[in-house]
Amino acid sequence: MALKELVRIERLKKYFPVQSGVLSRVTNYVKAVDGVDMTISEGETVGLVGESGCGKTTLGKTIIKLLEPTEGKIYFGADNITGLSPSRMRPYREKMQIVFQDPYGSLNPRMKVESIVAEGLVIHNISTPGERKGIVRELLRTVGLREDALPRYPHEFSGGQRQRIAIARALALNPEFIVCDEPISALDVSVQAQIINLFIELQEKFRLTYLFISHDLRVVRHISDRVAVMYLGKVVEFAPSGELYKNPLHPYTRVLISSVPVADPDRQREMTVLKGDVPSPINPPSGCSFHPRCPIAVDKCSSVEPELRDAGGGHLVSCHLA
Amino acid sequence: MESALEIKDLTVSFSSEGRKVEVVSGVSLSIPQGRIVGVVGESGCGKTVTALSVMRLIPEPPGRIEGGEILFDGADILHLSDRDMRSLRGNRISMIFQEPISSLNPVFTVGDQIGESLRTHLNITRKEEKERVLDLLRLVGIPAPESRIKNYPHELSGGMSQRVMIAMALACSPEVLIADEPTTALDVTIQAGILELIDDLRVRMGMAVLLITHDLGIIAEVADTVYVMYAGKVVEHAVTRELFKHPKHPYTVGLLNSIPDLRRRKERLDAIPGVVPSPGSFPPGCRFQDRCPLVIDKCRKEEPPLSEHTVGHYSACWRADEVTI
Repeated sequence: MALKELVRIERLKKYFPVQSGVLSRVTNYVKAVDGVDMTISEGETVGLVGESGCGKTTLGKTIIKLLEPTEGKIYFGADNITGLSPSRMRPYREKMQIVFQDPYGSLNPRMKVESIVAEGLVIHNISTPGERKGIVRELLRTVGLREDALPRYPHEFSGGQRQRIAIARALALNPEFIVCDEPISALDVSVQAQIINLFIELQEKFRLTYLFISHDLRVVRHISDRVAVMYLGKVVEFAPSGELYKNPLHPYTRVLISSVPVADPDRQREMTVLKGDVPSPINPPSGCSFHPRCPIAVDKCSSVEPELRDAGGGHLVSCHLA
Repeated sequence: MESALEIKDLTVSFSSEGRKVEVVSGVSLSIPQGRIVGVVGESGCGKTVTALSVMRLIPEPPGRIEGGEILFDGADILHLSDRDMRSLRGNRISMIFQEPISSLNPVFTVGDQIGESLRTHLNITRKEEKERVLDLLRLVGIPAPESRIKNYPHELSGGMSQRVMIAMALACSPEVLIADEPTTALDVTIQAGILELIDDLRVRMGMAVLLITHDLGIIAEVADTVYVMYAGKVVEHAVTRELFKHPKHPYTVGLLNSIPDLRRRKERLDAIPGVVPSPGSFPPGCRFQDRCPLVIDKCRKEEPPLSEHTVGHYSACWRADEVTI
């Protein structure tokens, strides 16, 4: 694979203010994304896994600047897009798209499929109104929907079909980079497989680059070239997908992998059950933020924060004991 | 083995806009004492309606139990008076729902809600009640139960709320526990703990468990026997290992192949084409016909009955013997 870098983020942070009292003074911050470095190459799929509340979605939205980062830098191709004004951001918006988790909430119920898919073309003033119908028709075919979907409304479609509409909309502007935020978790098992296949096909056809966010490790393993594991706003391990699953170095990754039920009654897995819940991202624990739940933590872990370092062959991990 | 609960030929319909639609059609299943019976299927296959029928929680109207029997302790639940049913529900038969957050009452404390079924069903003092509630919270693995007992549901995380739900369901040591997607709303790390807890309680208390899920991985791990449901019917039934090793219905094979494996990657998955038909638009003949790779003319005309192919392995498919994984 030619490793031309498409997206790079450096020390990216996104804090949400917590207000309290009658004056709504900012008393604290939710550190949703807390200093993440990552590069994504052209044509690559990077998977992003972690428990709910770990900051996966916030990271996805901040990378494409649906949320303004608090700190850090975002590069798209060779360009720093961090501080760009909305108008200067526009040419980049075409190139980055997002597909959301909930296909019921992400499509406007009052718009026809044709207008939903064509909306981006209209906003970015691409093609004439006459050509648009043809483009939309072609897009629907690409995602496996029939032409008769054009004049219909979202409620007439099943969850899987709606997700196809959302994907068609994302493809309309010929993007290079798509953030897929839990795009299949609201779907039935048999339909999930259809949509995964569609993502893989589209990637081959249009040389797309994906950031694929999911809490389902099986799905992420299946679709990703490299996988990043997030915990409390930080990436704790980042490695090629096969390597990560064969040789997980971070204790949190090990727990995650061992928790996935396997559809094989002969395989007795060794389950490590984590104690406690994910701590609050307002006051993350000192040192390594995983130390209160870590089965192998030592004294050092509660005082010194481990750096994300290369453990060999591009396998990044932040753990003192790995 | 003796059955703690037996459903025989259950048929349930719902009417909407003057049209009656059958959502569960002739479902039979039995839950032996001290075992976990899994029910798998996609949304709309009738698994939740089956569970709600056992609890007699189907809203009537629009719902209606058209026929069948649900046998518990020698009596047919469907013919119990409301009063008798109330003394059974939450006492000898309990249910855990999918959404822990919305199933708890936001204006009562955890202690109140768990204590409610104790107060309703058992004749105990306030002090005994509090002791029982603390014991239950400890049993389901909630740390510092003395302070948790005063918490309101919004102060709990998803995993905690589900544990509270389980504590409520177990309050009166039920003989049958129905768990409807008990871990679907939870993270995998929490899921493992909850499943372990249910299994542990089954062993200790000898409960019979009906575990409803869409995740075959969960079934493989905890269920003793499995029923696969599709479009309101049981299409396959066998002990777990047999079902996974030698599935005899194309739908089961389709489900198994749809799961990405942690060991394979980036190939096309063998997805089942199309979607589950909606109740009321089931085709004549086999309900899986339009999505089935093995479909023949006969499937479009005659509905295959659920019949035994090898000992204890039932499948509703005309070509069951040709099914391979």
